[in-house]
Amino acid sequence: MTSRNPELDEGAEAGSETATEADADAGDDAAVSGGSGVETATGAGPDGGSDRGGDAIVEVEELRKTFGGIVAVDGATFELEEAKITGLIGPNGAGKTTTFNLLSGFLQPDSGEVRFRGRSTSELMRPSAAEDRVWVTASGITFGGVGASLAGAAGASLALLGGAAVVGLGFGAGLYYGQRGVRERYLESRPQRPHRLAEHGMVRTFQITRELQEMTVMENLMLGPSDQRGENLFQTWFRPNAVAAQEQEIRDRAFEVLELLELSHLTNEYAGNLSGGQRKLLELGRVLMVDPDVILLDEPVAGVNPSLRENLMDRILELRDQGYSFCIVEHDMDVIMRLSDTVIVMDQGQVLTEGSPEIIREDERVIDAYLGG
Amino acid sequence: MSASGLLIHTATFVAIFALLALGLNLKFGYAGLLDFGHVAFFLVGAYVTALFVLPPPDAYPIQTYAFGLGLPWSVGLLAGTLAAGLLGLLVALPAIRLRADYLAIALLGVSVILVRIVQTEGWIANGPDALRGYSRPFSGLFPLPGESGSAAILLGLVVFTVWAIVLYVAAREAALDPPASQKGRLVHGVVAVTTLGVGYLAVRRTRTILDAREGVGVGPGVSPTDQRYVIGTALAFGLVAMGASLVGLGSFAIFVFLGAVSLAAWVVAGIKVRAHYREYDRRAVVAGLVGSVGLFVALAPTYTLGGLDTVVGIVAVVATFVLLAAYFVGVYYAFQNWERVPVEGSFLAVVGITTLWLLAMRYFVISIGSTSPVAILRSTRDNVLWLVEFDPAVGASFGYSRFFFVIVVGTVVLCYFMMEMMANSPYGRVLRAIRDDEDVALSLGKNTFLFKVQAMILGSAVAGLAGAYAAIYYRSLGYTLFHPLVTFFVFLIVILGGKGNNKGVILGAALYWIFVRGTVELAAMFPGGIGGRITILRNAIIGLLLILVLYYRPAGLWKEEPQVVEVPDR
Repeated sequence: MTSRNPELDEGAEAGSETATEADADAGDDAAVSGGSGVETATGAGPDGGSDRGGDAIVEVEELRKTFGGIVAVDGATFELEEAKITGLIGPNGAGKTTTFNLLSGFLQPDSGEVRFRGRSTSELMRPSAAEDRVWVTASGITFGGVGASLAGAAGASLALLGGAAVVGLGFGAGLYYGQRGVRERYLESRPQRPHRLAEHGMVRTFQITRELQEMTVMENLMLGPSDQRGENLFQTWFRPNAVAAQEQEIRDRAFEVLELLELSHLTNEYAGNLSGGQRKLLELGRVLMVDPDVILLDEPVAGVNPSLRENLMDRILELRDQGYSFCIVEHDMDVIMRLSDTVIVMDQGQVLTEGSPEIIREDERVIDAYLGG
Repeated sequence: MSASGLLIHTATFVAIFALLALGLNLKFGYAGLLDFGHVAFFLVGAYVTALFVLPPPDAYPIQTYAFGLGLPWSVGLLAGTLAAGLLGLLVALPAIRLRADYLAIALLGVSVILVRIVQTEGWIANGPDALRGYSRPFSGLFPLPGESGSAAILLGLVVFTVWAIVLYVAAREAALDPPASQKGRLVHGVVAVTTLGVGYLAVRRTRTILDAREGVGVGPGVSPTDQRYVIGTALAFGLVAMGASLVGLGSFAIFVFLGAVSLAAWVVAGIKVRAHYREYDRRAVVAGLVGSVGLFVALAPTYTLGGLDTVVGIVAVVATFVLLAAYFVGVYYAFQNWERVPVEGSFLAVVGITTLWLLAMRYFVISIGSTSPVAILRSTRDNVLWLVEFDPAVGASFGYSRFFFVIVVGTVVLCYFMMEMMANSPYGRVLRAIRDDEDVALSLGKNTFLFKVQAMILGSAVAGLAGAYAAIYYRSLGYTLFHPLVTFFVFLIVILGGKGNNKGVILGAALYWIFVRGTVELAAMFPGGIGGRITILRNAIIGLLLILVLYYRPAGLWKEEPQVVEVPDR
């Protein structure tokens, strides 16, 4: 895990140079100087306070994604800083949401890479060696058993039986590696394991709210925390008291989040019955329950009424001060300018420019991109 | 067959299909996996169990099958369950990532393939003919009471199981609040008598603990310590029955313990029904009674004269059809103008009450079928003490069909509790999240693939267990029993009862079999030609029923209950 030189903090210079080239260079430099021993924030929770902000926690390098003939993201390079809010803006079709999907592992990039705390996300999403071993063993034993029983049914001798078992074992193991290889090489349009990123501490919300309609608000929130004891059936059935104790903790935390978001009165309401704005709040709350380091918010205030919107923005700023890092896609300029520490402007799949809100506001090209298209 | 025998027979079917439906409910109701090949696991469970317990093929030359291990039934049941679970895993690994409809087709394919294999590959399980020749477990010991120690242990086990179930249900029932009114005291008295006093104390004690616990709203399921009074009492009863059997008082123990539990079951069922329809007034009950009597009146001509091949018989049949038509027109009219009917409660509730009246009258009144007072008394005794058989030679005894019924129902209860704990746990929460929107679950860091595979394995294993019991119950297995259509009957059960609600699913299984049984009886009242058509029409009516439920009550009769938590005051 590496950390970044604070002096590479993107600001005015990057903004005034032409977009991708300069950024790519900056990215390369970063990769080279990666291990240069500036104090790391690795492993610390988000509660460490805002004083250590400024290090890049997510680095995006030369990201490219095409759908058929359309180039949705075309070599985007930027980074998200720890304990800062990064705004991502751009006209419709600029590739913001696709970038988001690539960041959160819901899409597989054609080329380029996303690094979370210095580690490539595609590496984070790959099954661990232990997991591989479990599946290979299971597959091997199954086919070994099948081989042995087939040989037994055919009336083979003991030696042949053993041989069949070994062949089956090898076949099973090979089959697992084979299917993985085929999937990785030929079939991959979407990674199978974006949940790994959430486990590592990067969680996203969706542009169109996707609350779990047939579950109550409380259940939506309680779903969040990772590695709950009761997600293991064995624990559920045979250690119900331990599970119940943890449920109580989670429920208490959920109540706190509900109060924070002023949704307490809706605790037992089906999420499907909530208004658009309330759903946005619920999504934010659900993400907070996961307690990640990086939160990717896709249009968090769209459809939220003004007073609630103020509330939500205050909340996000507060969380930033507590050490959470945010990346926010938003169309509302006022919101972006008020929230963001850094704004990244995308256009036609590329990073047009980036900088502090004040600089972006003045930038000619941004105005062109938005107005002149 | 006596009415209680029929009850046991139908209830065993209900229990087996309830297991099957619980398995499907886990996959479809909770995880949202559209498994159109559920019957495949039923089939695998049945055949694997049968092959495990059959003697080797050489010893049985009249049929061909791949192997017979001659193992005991316990191993066979386990093997059937595990084999179905393993098949679930193998099918799930490649198929589970498919979207809902594609998954459904793939799994349907699996079930069709398996049935075809069993049908055409004679060497596996006797080809298109039935596979038979396995003896049923413990069948040598019945009817109880027997001479041997094993028979005594078995009796003890049965007594323990039925009492544990009945006492637990009684303990859960809110009607057992402290007796305030005269009526409440009466109910308590009846419960105390029918549960032999000791059982009543256990129920009261457990009830208070449950109350205390529910007040806090802690945790999934019920912790084992809560049930210790119920379990302890049931265990004591079981031990006493066993001891009595050993000293030669088995018939007496059967009469006391199984007779009392039969009564207690009626009482508890009555309390439960009363509690369920608490908000409806007397008029709704009367309306139900009128509805059921009306149906019987409409059927009366053909019931009394229909078998005759004379002019009178034909007139009777025609009269019945006219009366039936009038009856259903009336029902439809009442449904259309429900606001103006002077009855509290919904139309559906009154239909439910009518059904209960129908069942009660069919069971207690119609089944007597005699006018001599002795015969009426005897058959009423048989019907009320349904768990006991009265053999003129031995007195009270306990036959195989009732034993098997107890075993299957015990399994269903166990399975139900495990499913409920699962559903209320974080595991169930993730499954429901996957059902609602898999991407959300993914984005929150849930390995949805693993969760879905687990649900597939577990649901299939339960179906396999149902298959294993079916193998015992059917006594011979033919491929037609596992037609792909069976899957859709199970879907009907799940959707009718209420997907995502384990209680509803069991209710659905009961309704399905009551319907099947009812149409068979209806057909028997009519002369052959018409009767045959009625049975054929049955599947069409089942389809119509599904459409009606989906249209008027998409969440099922007993829809999924929200998980409500108490909001603390702050």
